[in-house]
Amino acid sequence: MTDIAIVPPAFIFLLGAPLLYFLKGTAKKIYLLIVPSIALIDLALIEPQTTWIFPFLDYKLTFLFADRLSLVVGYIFAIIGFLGILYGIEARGHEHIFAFLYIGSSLGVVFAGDYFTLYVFWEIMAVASVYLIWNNRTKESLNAGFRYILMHSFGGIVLLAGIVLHYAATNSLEVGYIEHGLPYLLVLIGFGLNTAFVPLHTWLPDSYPRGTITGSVFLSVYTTKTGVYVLARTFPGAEAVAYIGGIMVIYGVVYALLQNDTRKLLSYHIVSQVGYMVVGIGVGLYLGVNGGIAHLFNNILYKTLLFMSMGAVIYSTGKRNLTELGGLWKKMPITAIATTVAALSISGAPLFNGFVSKGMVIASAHDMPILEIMLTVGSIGTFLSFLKLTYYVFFKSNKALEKRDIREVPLPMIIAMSITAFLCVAIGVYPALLLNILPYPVLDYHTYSVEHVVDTTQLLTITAIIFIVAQKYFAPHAGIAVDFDYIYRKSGNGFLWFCNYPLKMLRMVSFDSALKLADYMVWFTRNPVAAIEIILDTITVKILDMINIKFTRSNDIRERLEKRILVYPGNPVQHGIRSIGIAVLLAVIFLLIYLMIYIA
Amino acid sequence: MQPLHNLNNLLSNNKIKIGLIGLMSLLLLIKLITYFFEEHHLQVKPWHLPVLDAIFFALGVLFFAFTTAVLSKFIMKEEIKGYD
Repeated sequence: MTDIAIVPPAFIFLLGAPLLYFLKGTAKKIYLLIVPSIALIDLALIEPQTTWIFPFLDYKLTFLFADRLSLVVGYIFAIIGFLGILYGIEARGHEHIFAFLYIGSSLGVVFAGDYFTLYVFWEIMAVASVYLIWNNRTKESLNAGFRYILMHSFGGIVLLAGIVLHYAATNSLEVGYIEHGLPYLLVLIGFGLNTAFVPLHTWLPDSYPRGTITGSVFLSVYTTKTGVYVLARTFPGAEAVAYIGGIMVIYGVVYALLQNDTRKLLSYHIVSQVGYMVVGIGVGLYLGVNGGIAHLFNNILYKTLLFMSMGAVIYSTGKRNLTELGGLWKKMPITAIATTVAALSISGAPLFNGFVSKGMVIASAHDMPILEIMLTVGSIGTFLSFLKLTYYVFFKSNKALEKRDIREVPLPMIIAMSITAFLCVAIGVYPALLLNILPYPVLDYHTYSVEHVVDTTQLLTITAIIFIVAQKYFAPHAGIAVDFDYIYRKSGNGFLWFCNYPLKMLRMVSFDSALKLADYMVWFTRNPVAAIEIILDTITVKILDMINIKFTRSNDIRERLEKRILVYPGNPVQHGIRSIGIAVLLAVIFLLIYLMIYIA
Repeated sequence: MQPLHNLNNLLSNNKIKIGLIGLMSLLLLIKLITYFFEEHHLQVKPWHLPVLDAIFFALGVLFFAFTTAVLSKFIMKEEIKGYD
């Protein structure tokens, strides 16, 4: 049904963004909180099967297609939009405008019912999000932003090609399954780039740590999760996708363990956690898709909380590397508690939200032993990473920081972190809050089964013991962990070198040649007959010089050539009939050359 | 050796020692009971067995310790020109 009383939630943010430009002070702060609240109310009123269609040319653009899948993702996008705005209410520049555009376009993707609408919002999302990186206003963030937009432009073009081919093959733009063949591959690469499939993930750990404190909170939520959502719409049950997810889980964790920059560590964990979601969707079945989407929901909560907490640490200390941090739990107790809650949630500890969804994903992969092992090993690595993060940021002694006057962050940031932490615990303690809104009914899965609780507790305990015992092997080190982006950067530099040197040289040579040719043609056409005679004489002289033969007429030829050059062009028409004949011959030769070029 | 020294430090506290041993024993006991009550326990995969999975988890941690140590030798660089 089409209900005109309901507005697509994307429009609320997108139309609300421009007004922010004119607002300042308290009015702006109130407005910033009102817009996401309206979007939340709007979402709460939307029933499954509600549509909002706009006829455009010969197409019907579906700006709102609501079902249980899009609604659950829409809810969490709007909730975290509100909390993110609250956290960053004091943010500088035009960050809020672009945050609104980013949230709005992400909601647009989620509720799009056709690929055309989806693609338009997809591109707005890429453009809006890059400002959140650039607004950090450092050389690194500027460069990272350019690399981000380059990668996303590539992904966008590939996606567009896939959509066009899909439309050509099926005559349908409805968002849904993609038939096998080239469109399948192109759309998968297009969506996979945003979902951070390895090795297309490099934009993520490159750019997210460079964003502003608030910007990174938003970045950690929307781009990758819209990717997961569209995969759930288009590729559920694709086994290859499930294995891609398994690789992401391990790859992300291993690289996270090598990081020194706190937000880079978190960024690699996005790759790993999104891997769990991709596995769930790739496995398919009700449990897999439910697990993937539940993990998306929970991941947004605890990952946002982690970025908020590390943002708070950077805000208060100005430090972002594990090697420079430590001893903050006394100075920033609320941030320490928030980080601990998020760390336990992401590690899947019982009574925290990650336990609910990670268990569902691992259970869905029960019949795929390799995947099951990968996911379990990933859980171990995740807990190791967060033991490391929490210990080195808050509990390890750091005399220099302990002497400094470091305080908790402002109240709006604390409130936002506290609400997010509360939601992580609430879902962990009472999973029905989440399970009841999942796309499919949860029938054959019990969150707090004895086996699941004992398994997880055992895993966490053993991991913690070994971490304490073998701590030095996990100690952070300053340095750069080379990833696939090294290859891309090298290739990019190679391409730039090719443009700057061989290609530029070729351009200069061809330009000079063209000018010389033009000069020559002007000289030639002044008197073609005399010009040919000069050319023939020149060739003859050159040959005579080359073979070094002297005969009586050779000096005559040289003298004649000098004379002809001296009087050139002379009078072109004095040769009568002969000149016309040669002119016709020349015209035929030119025509032939032209024909040859044309045919070639 | 540093790890053994750390382990010794950790276990020198009686409360931690009793707590850890108690927790691990309890977990293994519960797993053992649930395992034998499971309908198709013969079809259960090796890493689901009560003792083997504890070893599997420990191996998982060692896998990361080993992998990160080896990888850091090859892919960790102090500085790369033009790499921000």
